[in-house]
Amino acid sequence: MEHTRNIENKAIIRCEGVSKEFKSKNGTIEVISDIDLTVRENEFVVLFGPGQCGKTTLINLLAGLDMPTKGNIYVNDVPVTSPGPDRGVVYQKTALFPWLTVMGNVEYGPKVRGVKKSERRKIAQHYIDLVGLTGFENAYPIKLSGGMRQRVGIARAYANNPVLMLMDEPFGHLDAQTRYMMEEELQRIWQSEKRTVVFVTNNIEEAVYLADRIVLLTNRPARIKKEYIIDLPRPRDYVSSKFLKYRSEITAAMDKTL
Amino acid sequence: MSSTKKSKKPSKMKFDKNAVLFGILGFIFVLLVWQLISMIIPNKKLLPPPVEVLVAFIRSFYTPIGKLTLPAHIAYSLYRVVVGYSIATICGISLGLAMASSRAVKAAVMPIFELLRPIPPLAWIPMGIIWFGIGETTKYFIIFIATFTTIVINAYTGATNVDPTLIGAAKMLGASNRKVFFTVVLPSSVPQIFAGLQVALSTGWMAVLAAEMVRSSEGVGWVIIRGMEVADTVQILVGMIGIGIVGFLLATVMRLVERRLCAWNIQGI
Repeated sequence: MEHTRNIENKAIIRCEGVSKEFKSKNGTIEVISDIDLTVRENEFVVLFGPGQCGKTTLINLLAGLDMPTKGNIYVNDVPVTSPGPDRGVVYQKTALFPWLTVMGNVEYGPKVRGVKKSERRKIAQHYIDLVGLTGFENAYPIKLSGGMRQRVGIARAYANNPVLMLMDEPFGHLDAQTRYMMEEELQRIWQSEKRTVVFVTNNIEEAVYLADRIVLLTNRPARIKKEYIIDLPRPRDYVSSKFLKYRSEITAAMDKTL
Repeated sequence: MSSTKKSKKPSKMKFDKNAVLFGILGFIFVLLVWQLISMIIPNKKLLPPPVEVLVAFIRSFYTPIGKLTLPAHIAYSLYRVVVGYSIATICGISLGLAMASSRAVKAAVMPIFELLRPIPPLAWIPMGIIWFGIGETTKYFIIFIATFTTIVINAYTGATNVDPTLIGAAKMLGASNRKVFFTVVLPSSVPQIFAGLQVALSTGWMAVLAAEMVRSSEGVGWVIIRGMEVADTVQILVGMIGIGIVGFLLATVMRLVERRLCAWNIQGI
């Protein structure tokens, strides 16, 4: 049982009373409200909630690209104050550097951190192989399909060896078929090299398929409504009766107002 | 295109037969009209027939016009462009990028720019001559003025239009601000900078001719103005054809360099 083991693990993320407000013409809008969340080492946590509930804002706070209005965020016991390579991000729109090849993108992190060329090539090649892009090292992103670009994004995040991976609806732009395939691939990759992952989605199937634990968020402002430990063996079956039971239970609990 | 293999071929390999055919037809049509007009008009001097101009054009490759052959005149003009344009490129890209990375620089420079921009480069010729005399410096100066603004504005636009997500991604991967500039801002503005350089090169080529027409003793601009002074329409037309061909070649070379430099930005390759 993975979750029981996880509880013993070290806390990688600690959010304490985190709130975020944005100022607008019509006063302040609270997007995130009083979130307390602990994520343990090698845990795969899915933040699940309706459309524009503030999930991406929470990811940006964890990334250090934005600061909370109230509360504190610690990653590996260090307060988050700025972007940094200890946290790897996989973006919905991939955010690959279009002027760099697949190899150039994957080795970018080690390169700017000053890792020697021979060594970073070895690291990058390892992750290019892991995500199944062997043979595409010299291709530019513009020539790759959506799914392949996301693979590059995952390899690029892995290659920096972050303590935490943040995935912001990485498969949101893919067609249904590719999406299933990428979910299976991500699960395979993650199982062969475990990392602590916070994964954002508004797709319940994806959430139940990938998560050790699902954190259900309310509609804006986002609060934690309920948490579910997904106690299913991996690889999971999208249509097993237990899977469908989780699916309907969590869907029923989700805020319907948009 | 029946097979997928065929449609994957790069676009430069596609060869539109119709376009070539109509292109040739268009040329023939213009030459015919030219020939006709030159036959109708009473004074043949006003518009010499195309064949005569063509012969003179070929002859100009080995018979000097004034002191030099036509290719040597072209080389003179090109050299002037290269000097002025190179200085403008170095200064222009630096200033454009500086404006993009510093609000203070932008605030200080932008208004001056907006005021100077509408002044055509040719309006600078009198001041240039007073400041630098009638020698080469004035010509470099005019070419610099003609090309500098375009290069600055494009470098500035390119560097400010960088996708902020890419900057965020680079920072998350551990890049310092300096690294972000050199590994993200600079490469992502290359296509825009290059577009500016392309436009600037053709304006530079036009400006050198104007500068030469005002005052010089060699160069293609001189060939034309000399032709006017001695009422030699054939010589004027020979010079104009030379200008056209060189301008076309410059644009073609720039496009080829762009293909190389911005391969990542072109879908078809």
